[in-house]
Amino acid sequence: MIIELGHLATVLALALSALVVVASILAARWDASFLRVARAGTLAIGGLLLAACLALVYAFVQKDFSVLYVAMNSNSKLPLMYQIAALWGGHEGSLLLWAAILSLFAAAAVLVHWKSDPDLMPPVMGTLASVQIGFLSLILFLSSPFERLIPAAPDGRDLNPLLQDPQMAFHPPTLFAGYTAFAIPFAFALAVLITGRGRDRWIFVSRRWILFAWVLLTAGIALGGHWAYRELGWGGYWAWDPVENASFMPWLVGTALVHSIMVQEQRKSFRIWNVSLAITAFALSILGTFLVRSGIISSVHAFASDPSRGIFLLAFFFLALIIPFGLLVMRSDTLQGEEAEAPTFSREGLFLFNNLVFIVATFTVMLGTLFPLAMDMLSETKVTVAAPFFNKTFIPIMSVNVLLMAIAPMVPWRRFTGAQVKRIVLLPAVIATVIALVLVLVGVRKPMAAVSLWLAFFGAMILGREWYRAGSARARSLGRTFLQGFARMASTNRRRFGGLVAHLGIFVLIVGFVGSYAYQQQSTVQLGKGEKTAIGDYEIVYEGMRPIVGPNWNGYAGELDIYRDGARVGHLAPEKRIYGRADMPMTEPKRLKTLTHELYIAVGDIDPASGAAALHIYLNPFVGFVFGGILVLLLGGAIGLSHRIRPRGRPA
Amino acid sequence: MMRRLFLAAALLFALPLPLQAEGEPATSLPVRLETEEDTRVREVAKDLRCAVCQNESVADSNSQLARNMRDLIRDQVRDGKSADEIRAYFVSRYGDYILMEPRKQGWNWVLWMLPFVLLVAGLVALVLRMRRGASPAAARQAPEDDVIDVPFEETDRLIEALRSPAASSQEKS
Amino acid sequence: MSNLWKALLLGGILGISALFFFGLDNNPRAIPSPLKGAKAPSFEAPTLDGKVFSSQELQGKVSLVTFWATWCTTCKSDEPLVEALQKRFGGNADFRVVGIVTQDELSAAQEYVKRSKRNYVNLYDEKGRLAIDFGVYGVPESYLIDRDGTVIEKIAGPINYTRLSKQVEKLLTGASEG
Repeated sequence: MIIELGHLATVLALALSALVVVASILAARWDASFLRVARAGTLAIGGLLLAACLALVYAFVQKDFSVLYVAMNSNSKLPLMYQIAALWGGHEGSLLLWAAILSLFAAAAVLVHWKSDPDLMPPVMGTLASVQIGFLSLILFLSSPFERLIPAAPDGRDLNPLLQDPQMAFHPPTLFAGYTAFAIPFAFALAVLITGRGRDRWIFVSRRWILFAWVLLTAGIALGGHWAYRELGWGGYWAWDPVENASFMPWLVGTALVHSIMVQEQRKSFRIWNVSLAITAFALSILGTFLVRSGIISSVHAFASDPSRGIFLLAFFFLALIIPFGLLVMRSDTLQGEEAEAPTFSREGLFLFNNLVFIVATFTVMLGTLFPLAMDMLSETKVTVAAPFFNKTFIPIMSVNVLLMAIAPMVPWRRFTGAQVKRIVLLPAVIATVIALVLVLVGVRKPMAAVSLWLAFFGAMILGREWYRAGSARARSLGRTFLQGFARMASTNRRRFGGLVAHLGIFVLIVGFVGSYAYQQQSTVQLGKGEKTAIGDYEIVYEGMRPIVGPNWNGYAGELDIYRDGARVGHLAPEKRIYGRADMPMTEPKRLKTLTHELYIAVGDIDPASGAAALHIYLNPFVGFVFGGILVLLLGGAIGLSHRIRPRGRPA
Repeated sequence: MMRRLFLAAALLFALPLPLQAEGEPATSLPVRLETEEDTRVREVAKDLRCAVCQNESVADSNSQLARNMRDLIRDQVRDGKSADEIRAYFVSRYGDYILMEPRKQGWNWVLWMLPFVLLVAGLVALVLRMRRGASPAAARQAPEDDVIDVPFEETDRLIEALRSPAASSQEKS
Repeated sequence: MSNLWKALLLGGILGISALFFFGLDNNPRAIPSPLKGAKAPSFEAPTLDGKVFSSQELQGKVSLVTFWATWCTTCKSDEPLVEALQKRFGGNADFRVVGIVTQDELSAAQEYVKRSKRNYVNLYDEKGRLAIDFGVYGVPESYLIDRDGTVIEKIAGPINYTRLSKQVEKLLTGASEG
């Protein structure tokens, strides 16, 4: 019964979306009072879709296996937490979650900007409702999670064992929230194109939405990487899987956008560019959905595919590109400034380079992801484009941006001279070079690793000097301590400070990447009971397998004592689990963490007769810096988010 | 049975443990390390795609096919075949699809070169346009106005101002 | 916006959409075999009842080499089709079907064949070497080989009886004419 109500709520939400589109057109063309209808509709859709999600969660918690989606993705023995998270454990439910989050953001955007930007509201609401129509039609007509299974299944098929991890509660919703939050700047950009008004205003309105989406997407991707690292047992966190790439592309474009809107605020240029980026970021979010769900590309994340769904998604993706870009092409003159300024040697000029690099990087990821498909079409040959290609192209390309990132925030807007740059760069460059040379002598011999580390030190040192100078200047002027001066400096311009903190996060991240990617040690050995192995300065003693039983799985835990320089430093018990649904064994690696490295052990094949086991052992230097760097990055985003910018000419 | 064995093992190990903490070797058994052969097998397997998996190399995969492939690689390594010869064998059976890294030949050059060509072309175009923009006429146009942040140069100026005692209370935020 | 940019933009959108449109038919799992048109690998392997079978026995004959396993459901549904093929052309001394059990236990395969009374020879591929030599991804996969030992076609997944029997017929008659 409840599930039918959820279905009904979704149908109503679709009808209301159509109503909102009509009402916002009427409001713009005929009578502004229709605006209230559109607003009421937008808010109601949020409530209805939230209710639809809750109805589905209710069916999961009630273990109602007469609902097909529940029967396919749950099981009577599934722990409660995963019963709830199973809402987004399959294609249909995750799509519903997508739509629900989008509707909540749309409602929030309408509430927040209703008073300040009434003239942009009709096209914003109309655009968001149109996107919603697309998703809700897909849900209702091609992938309904509300379908009944008659007769009901005695028990469910269980949630995919790969998804049974605490991260399941966070990674998908955060990622979806990041994707959908890009719909709001997308809608405002479109509103500018449709109305021809607010060409600079939309930047101020959307700035925090863009940053918000960026923070969510960053967190979503990072959570996914952390999940892969904790769970998959191959010692890494990023595999350049097509679906990882699909989430990475909007992130790259979103990051470019976060930077380029600053130029428009400052200099009223980059207008067309910013609108294009906002459109592209959202279109790439939809592309990600398309790639995952159309079965066009093989990937770990792929859902079961269905050709009609593929056509629908493709049409949706095509419209999401062609309508906005068509509008942009037709209306680009309304965006053009009084004069097209040539870029100069200035901070905004460097932002142009930054954007170029981000776009080339995005293109590289897209090229690598789609190249096998194109080759198949053109020459009927299959090629594999995987991590080696991306590492060899993306990393050098992005290192250009790391160099820019170090310098650009410190040079003035409008114009800088060579002498100014020299003053900023010289000392840090010398020190970074000395450190890098020492590292080379110590044994960092891989060129890209040395260059990357040089860049990270260089950037961090410029940043440190800037903070030191600015902080002590404030301290002196206030007559307080350095820390108080620093705090004042940080809090008076939280946006700049947040940005610099994010940059610091990237520098930390680079150290983590270099350590864990270029200097990972790896060993796979077969150990009998009581035997030991060694990696780095660790010795690992295998004491045998212990059978363990979980709520819906059985398995073994390998008991390992870890010694370092002869002293016992820990005990790890990596597991091998077998879930009911698939007899594919799942591995549960365990880690011994220190500040500078992690010992990471996963169990491979087990010989039950002798108790011997294969161990996959990894020593990952500085891998903690990867996740720590992302935390700093997110902290920077959050600081920036807390800063409210008002457009020039308005009272602060 | 398993559990009893484990208990026995645990008892055996319970005694020497305190001693080990003081620098004794963990057990008297020799350390079993990855052999050079293991490493070579892994190096080759890393470059090959586990054909039935999603985006996983033969080295990382647990599938039966990948296991058989590793086994075969091991035999070939033992026969003294070089990594290139083994890779070539797999390509002759599975095609280029089996290689994790696309070969630098034919259409694949587009894949390898296009990103760099675009990057360099873009950089050159921007620098050329900037040099045009940096002409004295353009520079003069730039009026001084408010900035949303205080970059390095401003900080320097601030410090200079503070050093002159007359200006000590002039700080604006 | 200059016309060049407009053209690039629209071209890009249309290009990528076209790629996806044609890509929808794409099966990422269908991978062409480099063996097609090349000589089939020669092999020597034990049959399920312990004799030794050599690919020399296939010389001058049209053959269908099919890889299967007892746990594979598609193989099960393919079985009557392969048998029908053997029945239809098996009388002709110029045609042979060879089944190869791979990624499976020997005892399971022996048990299975005993029950199903196959009318063609079945070999056991202990370490999966034969499968790798043929470039097999999974089961079932079948290779149609002509009299010269050239691989005419690789069929990954279920076989299409009508198509396959036509091909076999053509190969058998084609060779006798030539």
